[in-house]
Amino acid sequence: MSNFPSNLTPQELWELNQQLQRQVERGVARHQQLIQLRNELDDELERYHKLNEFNTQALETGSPQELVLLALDAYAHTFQLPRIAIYEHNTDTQQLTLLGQLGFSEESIVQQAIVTVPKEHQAGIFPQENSLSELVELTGLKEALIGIYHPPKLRQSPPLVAISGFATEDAHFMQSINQHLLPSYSTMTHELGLYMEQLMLMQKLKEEINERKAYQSMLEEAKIELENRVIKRTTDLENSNMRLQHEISERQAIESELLRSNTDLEQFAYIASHDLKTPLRSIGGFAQLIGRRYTEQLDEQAHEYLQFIFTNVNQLNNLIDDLLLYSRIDSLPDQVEEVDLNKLLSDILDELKGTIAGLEVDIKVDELPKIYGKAVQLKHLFRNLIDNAIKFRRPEVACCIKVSAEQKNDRYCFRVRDNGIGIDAKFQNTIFEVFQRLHSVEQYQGTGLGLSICQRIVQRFNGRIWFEPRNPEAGTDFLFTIPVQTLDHDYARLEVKDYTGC
Amino acid sequence: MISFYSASNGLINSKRAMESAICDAIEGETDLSSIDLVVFHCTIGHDLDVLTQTASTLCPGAKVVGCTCAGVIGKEGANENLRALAVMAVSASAQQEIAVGVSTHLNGKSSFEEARKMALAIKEQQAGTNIVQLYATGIDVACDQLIAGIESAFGPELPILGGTASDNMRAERTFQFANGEVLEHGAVLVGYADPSLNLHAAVHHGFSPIGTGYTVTKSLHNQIFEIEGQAAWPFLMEKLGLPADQHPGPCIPIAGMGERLSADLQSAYHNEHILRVITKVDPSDGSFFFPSDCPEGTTIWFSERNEELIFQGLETMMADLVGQIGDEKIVAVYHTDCAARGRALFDKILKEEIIHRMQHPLFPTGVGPWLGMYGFGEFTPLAGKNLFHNYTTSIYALTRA
Repeated sequence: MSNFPSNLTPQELWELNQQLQRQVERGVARHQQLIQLRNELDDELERYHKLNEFNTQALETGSPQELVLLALDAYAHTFQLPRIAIYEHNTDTQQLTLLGQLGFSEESIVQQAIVTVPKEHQAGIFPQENSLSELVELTGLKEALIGIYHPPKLRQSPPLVAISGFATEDAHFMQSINQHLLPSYSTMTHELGLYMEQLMLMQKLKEEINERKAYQSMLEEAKIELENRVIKRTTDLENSNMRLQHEISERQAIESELLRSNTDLEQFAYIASHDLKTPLRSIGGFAQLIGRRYTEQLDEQAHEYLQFIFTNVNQLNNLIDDLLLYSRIDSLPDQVEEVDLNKLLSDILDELKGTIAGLEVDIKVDELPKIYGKAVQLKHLFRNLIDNAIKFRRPEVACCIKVSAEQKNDRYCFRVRDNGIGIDAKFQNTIFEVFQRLHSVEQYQGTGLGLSICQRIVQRFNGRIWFEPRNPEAGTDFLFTIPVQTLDHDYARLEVKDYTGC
Repeated sequence: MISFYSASNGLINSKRAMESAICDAIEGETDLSSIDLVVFHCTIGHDLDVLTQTASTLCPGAKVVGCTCAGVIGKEGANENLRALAVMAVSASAQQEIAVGVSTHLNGKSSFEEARKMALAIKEQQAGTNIVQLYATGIDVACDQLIAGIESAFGPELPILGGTASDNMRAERTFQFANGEVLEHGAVLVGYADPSLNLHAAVHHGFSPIGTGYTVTKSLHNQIFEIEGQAAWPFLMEKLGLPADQHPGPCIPIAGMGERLSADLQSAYHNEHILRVITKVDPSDGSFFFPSDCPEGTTIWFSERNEELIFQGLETMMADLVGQIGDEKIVAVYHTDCAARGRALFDKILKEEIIHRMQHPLFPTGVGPWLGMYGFGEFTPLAGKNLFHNYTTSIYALTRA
């Protein structure tokens, strides 16, 4: 107070008071300006904190959708603008697609549009930046902040556009958007873009991982299925093996039984033939002796009886021979020899000369192959068939027999054709059975074993025998197959095939 | 008996915000069907229709009331974001314990009649109402007339608490909520009829008048046409170095006008002046509106915030309040603060410190139900007399013996 001038007039005091009053009043306004400045600084700091918070939370988001929701929240809290829209831009089609929005009604915002996103901009403020008006028009906002994230060229992610602002109807509580918000807005949009990019990459990775996992799971399932199949197959095989082993054992037992039985049979056949043929020979011999020594004493009736004895002894002798032959077919050793069938047939024809002398019998033999087999058995085969053809010739008709052969793949098919009395096709299965006769002994001599022996010989060579009736009363074709084989082949191993009709 | 539950949040989706606030408020305490009243404060960026509809849907038996504000204050602290919400869910043992009166056409001229109508409606519903809570538009309203209107129905003894709605300090549009409707020029009066419930209120502002006062030379009710013989609003703006056509919103923090209190209220207020906010100007004649009548010849002062006075006043106020409450149990606290006392005047640290100093003395071990807002004005009884204030912190503790 000591410096206060005491000699002032009331007028001067009043003026001084007015001056002080003005200073006080200006001071109030300046004070408020300072508060506003401080608030702006506080706001900037708050935005910085919110950005940090957004960064921290964005790291924890698990999907683009979740990130967009978080970003909407962050934009709203950071910039205190009531409406926010986030778009994704497709650089190929130029299409903007809305990813998320806040504060808009469905009708007041464009969801998709073809819009060019200016490449030179990273952020702008509307309406000051007229070049961004096309983007802001999508939202119908009166004033807006626009942030654009342009991904680096090498990255595949799409550009993002964030628009925050207020509409005309919000103007009552909003003031013009402050330019100071722009850097933070740009930063947040850039951060959002980067996180979106990361999430999309993560999502792609996750998809790949899931795909791989799915494949792995499929592989594992396939592996398990395969293992199950292997286990099942193994079990089946084991069971099958066991069955086979069992069958083998059974078969071995049967074979061994058969072998024993064969041996017994052979022994029996030998003994039988020997033991049967010895008394038979005696009967025949004594009958001949009676016939020779007592010719004079015997009347004509007795001679006829003796003739019956001779015939039956012969018949029985043949039967014993055939039985012996039949029983020994399988017992011969497996080793084979080369047989020239032309020579073999020539021998047969030589042997038959006596038989067919005086008969009208014509036997033609085509060129025959050399085959591997047993000459004795092959001879029986051909001889039997030719004998039958002669035996069952048609009376009053010249007997024509033709023997021929042709190769079919790995087989020779032999044909013995006659023009005899023929055989009904219905006897196809029975004619080869043992002791099956189509005619009585009185009509046609024979033991009933001839064709059975033929069949057994052919089967021994893993072949097949059958007959084909020709036109009625035109005769019969007997056919059989023999494999084309080399010397060292074991016939027992050959597969039996059906060559009917060869 | 009435029970109170509160919660607040800053969720930006309005539906989720309301659902979350109500559910958080009552969590573990009661169920939605027992809620009879939902009082909510929200900031202006929320979808107001969605908020009211969600509250009505969630609590179908409840009356839904509230208003917009510049920021909400809950037990979780203050939030002045564009989307902030605070809720007080109230359940009563009988429906009649809570009554609501609504005015849909309120302005400065109709304030008395509209308030009287609301009060009479409440009295008709529940004559035993012992506390009323008032939310009114914050733009064109004569708040002393509102008080007079209510007192004309209930008498001057009935305590009135509450405040006027605000926006985000723009002073453009404020909204009130009543029975599922969003009103712009309205008011809602809630009556509590629970004799076990006591109200203890405290108020202070911490501002000092500065410079020489100015004389109101022409006024009608709450409309002031001239100061010192000049057009009122341009006169004030000239003093502040601002343009004559300046909108009043941005001036709220600096254009708080002091008015001398009557001698009987000065000591209770710990201040010689009460403050008045200007939220509406008539540019056609340069007049502006006070929230209460201002007769010609009244002296008004610019005022400045005084940090020391604010903190000292706060300490004194809380000590007074705690003393009033004594051994009674606090069941809920309503709180209206001036919008200018939020971020417009204080930084975040100071603001949180102030709120802590309010909440801690009342709830030392954890804040109980608390619903507050930064509005344009506060209805707070002072020395047994209902008064309308501006630029204050007003706390209303509801207690039971």
